[in-house]
Amino acid sequence: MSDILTRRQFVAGTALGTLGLILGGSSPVWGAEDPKTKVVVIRDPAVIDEKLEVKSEIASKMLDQGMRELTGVKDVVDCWKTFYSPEDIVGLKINVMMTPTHRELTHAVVSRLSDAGIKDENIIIWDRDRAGRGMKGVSSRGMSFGFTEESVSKIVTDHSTALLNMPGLKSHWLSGVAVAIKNWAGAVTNINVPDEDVIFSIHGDSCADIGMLNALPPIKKKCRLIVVDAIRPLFHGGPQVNPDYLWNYGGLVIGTDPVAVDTVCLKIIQGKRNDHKGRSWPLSPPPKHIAVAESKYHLGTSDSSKIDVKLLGEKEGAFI
Amino acid sequence: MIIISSFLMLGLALGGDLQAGAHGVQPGPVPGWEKTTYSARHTAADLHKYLNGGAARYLAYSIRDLHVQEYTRQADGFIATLELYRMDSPENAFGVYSCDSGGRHPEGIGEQASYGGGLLQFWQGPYYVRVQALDPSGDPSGPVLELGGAVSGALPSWEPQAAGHRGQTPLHKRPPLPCLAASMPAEGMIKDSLCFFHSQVSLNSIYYLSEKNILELSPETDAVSAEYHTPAQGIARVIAVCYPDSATAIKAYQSVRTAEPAKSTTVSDNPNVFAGRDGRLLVLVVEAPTRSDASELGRAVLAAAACDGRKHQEGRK
Repeated sequence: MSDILTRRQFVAGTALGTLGLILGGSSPVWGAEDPKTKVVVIRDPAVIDEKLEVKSEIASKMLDQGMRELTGVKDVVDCWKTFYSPEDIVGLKINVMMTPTHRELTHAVVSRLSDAGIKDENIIIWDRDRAGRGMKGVSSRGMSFGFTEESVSKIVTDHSTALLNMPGLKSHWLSGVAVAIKNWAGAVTNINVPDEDVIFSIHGDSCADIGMLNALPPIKKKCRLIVVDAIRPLFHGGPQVNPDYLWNYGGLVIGTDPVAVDTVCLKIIQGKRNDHKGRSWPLSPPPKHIAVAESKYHLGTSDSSKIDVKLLGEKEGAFI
Repeated sequence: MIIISSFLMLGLALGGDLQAGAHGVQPGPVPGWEKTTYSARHTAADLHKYLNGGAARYLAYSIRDLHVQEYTRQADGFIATLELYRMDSPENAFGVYSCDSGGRHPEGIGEQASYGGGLLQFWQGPYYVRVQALDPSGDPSGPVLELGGAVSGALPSWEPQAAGHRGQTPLHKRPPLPCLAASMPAEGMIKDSLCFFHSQVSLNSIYYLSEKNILELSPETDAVSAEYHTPAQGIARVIAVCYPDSATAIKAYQSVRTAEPAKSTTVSDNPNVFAGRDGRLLVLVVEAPTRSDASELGRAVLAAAACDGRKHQEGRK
């Protein structure tokens, strides 16, 4: 027996339906007094050379420019004081997986936190349960703070008064992209892909509900700034890296709204994919978690009309 | 190329038994290279410790274990990491490889190999192998291919009985491609676009149809996705699935017919779809530029694709 179906509406209904949600939401906007949430993209191709070495001075300069643009404050130290005070203990959540946050960028951030008056020992650089303090922590993280009974990092719950999110920019096999929202997967333990016997069921439905981590009260309340390392992002696959899909974007993406930041990062990744193939090459699976973070967890906005994207530096190949 | 017969030391299963319970081959000494202290072994149960969420990619192909070993070339200190993924069958080693097989294709390494950006990938018997330069800057292809060639030369010969293959009856010592993959029409297929898989999580990473398993995919299904040029100067994607029985194929076809449209206004640029079933085989064509392109391609695949050596006769009328 043979069956034939030719139905024009099929793809519209199933294959690409979710992508429509990504940029079409209208849920609460971060910053009620501000009609738009600002996301700064700053690029300098010279930040990474042909040997793939990151230039610390350029990374630091980019960070300063980005922070000035984000805050509208001229003095760079004052920029940082708008987010963090000398009394704060700052948990700086980097990513150490296969496209790790570049050490040179982490160093630049720690320097500015220090300039803003935060004590060296009050800067905790960490991912999962490996942490270090201050400048030494940029390259050496042998400390362990453990997790609560609820499987949340004690750095988040007990040892920090403020958080700073520093993910890398990458595509992801399970979730489409993994940037600011998904970076908090490294703040909890006892998680697994089948979501068996776990407190946080974050992997089902293409990780649609991973925003639940960003919505945890200590993370939502304490995280004040997001600095995305977009120096050499991954645009296909991930987290395991095929280096053919890495490219020197030479950028940072800075903001305070995780949904808006991820929306801008999604645009960059999608732009690179289309450019790479010379035709549409949609992310698969579509990054549902960005839309769900907005609609269900009210973490920010993915509505491009409500995101004020400021692009500084190199315009060519920015995909903004 | 360096020929090293003693490159790999068989593990507990000395004699080449690569079935369940064996630990497979372990990376051994390579002349001209030194093993560094960095090595690891993971099974399916703890693969996430090495690959995080990336482990799901291999679990979907029934991975048995992974050996990781870092090497330094004595002549110049070049560092490369070897990853030996042992799957449950050659078909699944091919499957993992096939879904990311772009790049240039060096000859004489594995059954099929690809190289790009300092990463060599190949499959051979039940092994999917990655050899990756620590520093991908410059052109690291020389030493990466040297190490990869040595690994390929030392991997044990494929034994049909031991491998417990599910493919065609082998007439030689080369492992067969899965029947469905081998029988897909070659004409018009875009190079390196064919991907062999089984599960919903794999399909979602290739082409997103739905979070629901509307195609009734499971470890018992063989499936391929491939892109084709179409007469209307476009590109369409074919998804073909072989089910263990006709009843499941019929159920999947009915599921495709009744898939409910999502609440979205997004419409594909090329929303022409073809779905057809013949016996245990289901063929879906999406993203075709015209309706006739979708239909023509779908019918061609239905006519050519085979679920096993006897084609898809079971349940066929």
